[in-house]
Amino acid sequence: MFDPGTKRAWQSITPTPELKQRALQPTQKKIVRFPGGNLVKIIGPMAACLILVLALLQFGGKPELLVNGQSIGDGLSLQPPVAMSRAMTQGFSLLLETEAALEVSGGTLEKQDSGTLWTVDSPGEYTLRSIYKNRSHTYTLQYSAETGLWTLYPGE
Amino acid sequence: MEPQSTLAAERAYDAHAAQLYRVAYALLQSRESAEDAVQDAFARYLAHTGTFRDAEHEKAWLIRVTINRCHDLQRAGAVRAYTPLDDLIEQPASDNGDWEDDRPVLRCVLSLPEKYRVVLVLHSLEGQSVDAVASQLRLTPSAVKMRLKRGRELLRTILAKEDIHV
Repeated sequence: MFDPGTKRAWQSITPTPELKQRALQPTQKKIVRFPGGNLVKIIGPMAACLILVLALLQFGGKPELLVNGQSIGDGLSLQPPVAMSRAMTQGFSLLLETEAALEVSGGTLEKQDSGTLWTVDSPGEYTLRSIYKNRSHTYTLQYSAETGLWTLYPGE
Repeated sequence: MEPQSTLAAERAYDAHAAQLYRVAYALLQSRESAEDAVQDAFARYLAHTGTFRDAEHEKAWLIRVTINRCHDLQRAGAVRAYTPLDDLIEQPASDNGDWEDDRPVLRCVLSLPEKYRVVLVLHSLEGQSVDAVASQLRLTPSAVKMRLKRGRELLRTILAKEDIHV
């Protein structure tokens, strides 16, 4: 697939020499002690269960949205194709994988075998809404001329 | 069980760190965050009390921990500034003429979806066997082969669009 020159170029990427010192510095395991002794032992697990239940209530039923095979999390930066770096006027495509219905503020949605391809024609800011079980979640796709990256993040 | 010794960690670092760093860079495309991920992987290595069957088992463990750490950073939105590939690959003093043409191909590899990018990097650029990649990513060999096939097809499409010939 790749010629020896390409492999050689890739394998020439090495970390800075300082990383070795950082990586091999033995670390002390931190022991965190809570005040309250046995009370914390009893209430702690109950609080953890309550937080888990609240989290499930909050996020249950929200299907995962994968973008180009990656989870969005708090935000996802995507590198445009090489041609995009050269010509800022070109658009951008994302492959969205989710069970939810999708609506976008601009560009086109095209159903494919592996998901839905969202194509926008020019750099800018776009909104994506996923709708599942009558609940909708909004995401924003934004191009930064400063970094040359497209970023998709939850919220408006 | 005793944690790994600093001597063992140093040996593992010399053997695997560069590859771990490249895998982390392929995922995060940030020099600083790739270094953070490798540092964290070795911090976990030093605290690891299990034993490794052999060098391959140790390498697979380190790659898995590094990839997991990269995913943690992505989920937390904690990936630091983007580092262009050109900042990491320097032209060698004895330029034989084909060097300039390599970076656009690598940029296209880095633009692939992650599941294809990782297997192509480990197998086709790092030269690891399908079985080794399957073990490192906890996939079946046939799943790795399928991702390689689809990744190569997608890469060929991108290269053709970019008018890049390999």
